[in-house]
Amino acid sequence: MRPSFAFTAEQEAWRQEVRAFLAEAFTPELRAEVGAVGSEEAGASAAMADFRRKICEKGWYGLNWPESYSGLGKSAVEMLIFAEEFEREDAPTIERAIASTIGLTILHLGTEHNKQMWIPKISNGEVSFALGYSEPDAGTDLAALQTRAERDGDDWVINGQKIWNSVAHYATHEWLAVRTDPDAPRHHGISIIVVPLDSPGITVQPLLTWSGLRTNATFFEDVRVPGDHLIGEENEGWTYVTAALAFERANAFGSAGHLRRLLDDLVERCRTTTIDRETLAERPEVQMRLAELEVDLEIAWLLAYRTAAIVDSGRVPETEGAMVKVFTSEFETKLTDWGMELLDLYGQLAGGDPDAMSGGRLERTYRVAPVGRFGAGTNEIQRDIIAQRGWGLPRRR
Amino acid sequence: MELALSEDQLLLAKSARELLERECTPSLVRALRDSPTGHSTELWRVLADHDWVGVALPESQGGSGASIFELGLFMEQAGRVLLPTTYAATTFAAEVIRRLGPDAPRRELLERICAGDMVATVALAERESVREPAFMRTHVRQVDDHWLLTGEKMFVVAPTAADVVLVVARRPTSIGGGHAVALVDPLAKGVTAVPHVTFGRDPQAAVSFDEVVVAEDKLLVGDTSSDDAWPVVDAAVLVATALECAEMVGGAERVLEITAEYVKQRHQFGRPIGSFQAVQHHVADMATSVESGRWATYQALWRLAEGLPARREVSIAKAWCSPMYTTVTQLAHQLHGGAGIVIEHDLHLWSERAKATQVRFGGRDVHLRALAGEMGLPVRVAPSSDATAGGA
Repeated sequence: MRPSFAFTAEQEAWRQEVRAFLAEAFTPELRAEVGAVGSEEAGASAAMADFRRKICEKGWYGLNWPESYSGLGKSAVEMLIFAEEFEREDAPTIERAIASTIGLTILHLGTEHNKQMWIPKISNGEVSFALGYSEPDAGTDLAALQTRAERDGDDWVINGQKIWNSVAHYATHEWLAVRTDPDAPRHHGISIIVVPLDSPGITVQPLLTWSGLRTNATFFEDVRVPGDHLIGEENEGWTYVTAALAFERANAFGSAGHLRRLLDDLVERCRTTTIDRETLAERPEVQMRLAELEVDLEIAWLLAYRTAAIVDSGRVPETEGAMVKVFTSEFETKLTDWGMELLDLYGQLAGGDPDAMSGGRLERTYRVAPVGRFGAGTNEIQRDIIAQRGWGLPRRR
Repeated sequence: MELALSEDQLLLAKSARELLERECTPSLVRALRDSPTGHSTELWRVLADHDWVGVALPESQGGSGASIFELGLFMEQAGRVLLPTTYAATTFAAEVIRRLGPDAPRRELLERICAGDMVATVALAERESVREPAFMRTHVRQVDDHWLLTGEKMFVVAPTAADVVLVVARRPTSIGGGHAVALVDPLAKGVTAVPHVTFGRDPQAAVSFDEVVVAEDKLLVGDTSSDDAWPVVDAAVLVATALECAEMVGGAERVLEITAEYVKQRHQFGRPIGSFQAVQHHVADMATSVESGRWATYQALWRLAEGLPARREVSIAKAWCSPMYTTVTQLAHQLHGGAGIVIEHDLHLWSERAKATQVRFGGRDVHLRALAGEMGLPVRVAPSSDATAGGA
């Protein structure tokens, strides 16, 4: 009956397929690499590149693309199952998520020429992207971006700077948001141009973050790109950015698979940690905290699958997607903050210590968690979206 | 009833702030964060020369004779600049030593601490026993004219910087049981320290003792009313917990200042992000939380300084401050966005300390449970039938 809170046999089989793949391909060595430096920096190694190639060969870069474009045509629910399994195992999926997102944007909004030029190379892994959106003075206010692209004959010539440019140190191309008409209203003079990252004039500078993950500041100085690297139509870039961000949000913030794993690990750790003659799990206050985390996690899980169902019904889950993003990102902080406190003095042990929980994954996730709350549209903006678009509250400005 | 600081106290806080901001800069904090000892002898010398190391110790031993309240005001300033943990460790140790005999080692130790010649630390928690003395296993036994210390302690703060470790150990039941405090040279034969890797990047270690020789006059016992040192250790823990709260208040306040400054300067949508209500509400919540934590902490410190029962007030302060400091750092990250997570930015230095102080001397749940007991509620206690095990 509808609704159904059970997975179908096909969905279970899909979960098992992903799980079996990870059991084989995501080796202990790769796990150690992720644990040691964080998954984005880990992406630069040869072993990780090989892991990505295996994902590619499965056709999973085009998981949610139409079958007519060599995609697998997976539903949003199946995408979520996939993400849960990857996150549960701490397996990096950012390159695949970006490829899927960009591919989907090109398929929906690009020209036929764009599709012919990029889709096959994305799906076979030949082309991978860094997302060039934010600039030092254009973060939440993305439409303030200043990076300039000017026509010179058949080419584009690009000057400017991007920041928070993750994976730019090993991606092949930049999905670059640029201003092509400085005289148009802010949202109407922006275009998307695909820029090969080995073009002369590009400098990628590392920005190391608290979590150990690397991101980048990328500089463009008279970078020359062929005219047909423009995506869709000139000055319509804001539409493509918005669409890609919506796809990214659905992709990146739906799953709480890693949080399920951490809570399971935390419960087990409380069972086996004895302090002052009782296990932590025996303490009523610990039980209440764990139970509250279980409630929250269940809510995160339900919101994510509800959002996926809306996507599968053909509607854009603007409000619901914002709810998932806000709730799950804040729960990530709560779970890791509480978890470290619950373990008493043991909670302060970090990755590299033999007694650190989950090999340090709990404390590492606490350090990653801020990004979930302000990244891909701050939670403040998401709350505005829920109130204004979902419930019709008036908009200031 | 007058919830206000005196002129003298304000002056004391101001001079502490000026000294600490000058001497304990973020670049020094970063350098010490990656050093094995986490300790700066130069900084220690400056603190001692300005009489801050023994500020609350008796004048007869070279201290300044101020109260725990004034020491708390210093710790608040220390929290702002992330003063290395050797200071809190030594202060905690001094609170233990000043209440224990015999007289001669006590005087000598306190004089050396006040002069800035000694860093001290207390080894209390064990692998399966964090704060209940009845369950600790580390013990001493008497052989001829000395004692042998055996056992393992965990989470010993500043293990490599310390000149002396105060090891809380069980005494043989044959002489009445209870606990003593053994003064141990960390370099002595039979002492092994294995460093922990901690979130706060503050040096801590598991330290084991294998029949370590402790001379008779290096085994401190209780005051005149009892031979058992535990009540003294327990009282010092209470003081150290209140001081930890003061450190947390100072740290959280500094994070709030940095954040308020940032949102006034950072522009998006053509205006400071601090002009948005959503941002203002975060800042308001941070400020309210810090101000509340400050007066809860001051009350606890005041009761300790006045010699009044303070368990209730200390637990209220720590139960408030433990989530306060972490929450303030989390909101600070939220308002800084990407700028706050690059390691060049100092914010994460406070975020790390917030987590370390959250669990030190017990987190929120530990103190809620203690408070429930203070409220007369029937708090379940763990079975202690074999509490004397390990007492040798």
